Amino acid sequence: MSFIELKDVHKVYSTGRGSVLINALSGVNLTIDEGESVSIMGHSGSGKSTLMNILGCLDRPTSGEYILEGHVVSRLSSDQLADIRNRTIGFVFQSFNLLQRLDAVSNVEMPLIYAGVPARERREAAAKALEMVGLRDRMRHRPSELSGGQQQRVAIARALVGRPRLVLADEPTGNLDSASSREIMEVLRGLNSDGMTVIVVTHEPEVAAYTPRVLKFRDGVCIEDSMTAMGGVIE
Amino acid sequence: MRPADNVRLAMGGLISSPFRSFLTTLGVIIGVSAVIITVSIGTGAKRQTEMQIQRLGSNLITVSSGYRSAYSKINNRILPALEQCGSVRQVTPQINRSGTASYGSNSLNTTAMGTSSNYLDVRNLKMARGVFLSDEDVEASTWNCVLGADLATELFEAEDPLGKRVRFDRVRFTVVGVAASLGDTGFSSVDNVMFIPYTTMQKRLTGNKSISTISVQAVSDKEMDAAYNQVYAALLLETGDERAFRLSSQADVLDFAASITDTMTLLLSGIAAVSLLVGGIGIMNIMLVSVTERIREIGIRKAIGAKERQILAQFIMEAATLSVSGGLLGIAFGFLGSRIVTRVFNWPTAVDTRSVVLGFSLSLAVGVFFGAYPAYKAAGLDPIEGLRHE
Repeated sequence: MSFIELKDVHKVYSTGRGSVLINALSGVNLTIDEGESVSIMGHSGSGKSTLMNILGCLDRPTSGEYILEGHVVSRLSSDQLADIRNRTIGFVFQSFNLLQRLDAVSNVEMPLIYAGVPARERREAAAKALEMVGLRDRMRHRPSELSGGQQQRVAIARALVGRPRLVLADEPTGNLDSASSREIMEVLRGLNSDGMTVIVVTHEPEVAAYTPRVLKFRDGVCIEDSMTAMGGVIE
Repeated sequence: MRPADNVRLAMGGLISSPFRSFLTTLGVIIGVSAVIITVSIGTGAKRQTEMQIQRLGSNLITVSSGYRSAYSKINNRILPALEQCGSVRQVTPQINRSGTASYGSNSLNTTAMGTSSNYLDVRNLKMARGVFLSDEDVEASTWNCVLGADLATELFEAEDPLGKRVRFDRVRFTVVGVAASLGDTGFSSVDNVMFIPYTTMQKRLTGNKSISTISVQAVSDKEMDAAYNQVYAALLLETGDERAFRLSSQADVLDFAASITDTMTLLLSGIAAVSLLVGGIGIMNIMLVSVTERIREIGIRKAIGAKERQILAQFIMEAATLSVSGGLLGIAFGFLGSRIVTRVFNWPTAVDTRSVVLGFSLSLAVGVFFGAYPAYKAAGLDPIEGLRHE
């Protein structure tokens, strides 16, 4: 059984006053095994963000089935989806999405609050996660006091603090310079070698080159599924 | 999610904009303190009334003439008839006449009250010095008198009044006693009164046998109704005219006073409650603004696994924390305010636990009620939309 399985997934949005229908995904079939590292590429409008939302259990497919760890996601209640997002998935966003009024460690521990972890254990786990991304000495800094790369590392610490099996990164380097981008991709590659499944959505080939498997999307369908032999190293 | 974390989360949201939070709670602060103050004034007035009932005796019935003219059918003949009623313990007549009391160079406008020896017992009066009028004084229409506490000090200053002769208009009396002060009893203070035998009053001052009022003491509180009916029957028999007399019980008068206070308290509390309502709407308004401002935060929280009810709880908790802290401040201000009312207007006030509990639960209810809709809006937000929001 695969870790992630998409069977003929369609997603249709209605815009305007319900008169215009947009096919964001039109029949996606896909399997991803546990421990894989995958890039999803495509131009804007290719459906990659929609796919990301569905993979992240933020959205449900209009038709077709999404099976994650053997659960058919489209049949789960919104509470169950929240649980999956909390325990199984870690998100990394292009715009970091940190809460500005909280310091780094408070941002990182947020998923554990909703998991019901006691305060002290939470602090320890958050400190450890920040250490893993090399920001132990920035625990008490607020996002506004950190550089873009540092903020994204705080966001990664938040994604991995609950030990999820899947990390979803949506354009994680979109707002960063190339040096920071490399740092972030290295951190993500590190998580993958620790056994986490990593899926990165990007439109930059340099970023996609970090993952052995690349999926290319256009007009809501997967047009290419390729493995790079070298496992993605770029100088 | 743990309850303590819920509180911490709510506090975090509020502390991030402390001045706005304070302004938002102002309506609740004012509302709750107004409720506390009005209820404390009402309670204070009621307690004072209760004290008066206790002091004056709740088993008193007052008989007075029903005619407006000087002619009265309430006279000495009535007294034995009332004393014979089964549920009546004792009766005492009172005849008031205003005049000038003087001693040496001091003279004061005052009231002379002609009464009998059992006035002391019926009206719960205590003696500070000397003795009260005796049955012999009444029988022999003597020139003895007893002074009220204030009258004694004002006439005699530092001198000992006992045995001294005091003038009331053109008549001289010998002071045999001074009554203890009753303090401020509102409408029934006798601290300024000069007590003389009612027989002396009738013979020397009024010149007729009329009595202005008769105080009738029932055997007990329980027999008040029986005593009332017997007195009514006796009076009807003696006077032959139900318009010739008026009957009122002390408790009736005070009950009426208490019902006025209750109505006033209710009315003022109603006005206070309206300001609490306005405070609640203010909270709802700010919470709606807050939800709009924090759409992205809500999206992030949902993406990392917050359930709808956890978001709902966070925002309701924020609203409740706002209004409850407003409520607590309001209780403190109300406490302070009622003290100021007592100090400045000299009104008795009493903040009891009931009004504190009322203020607290009202503010909690306002927070939860007016926080519910904004929280519901926040909880129903689509996480994707929230994350996309700038």
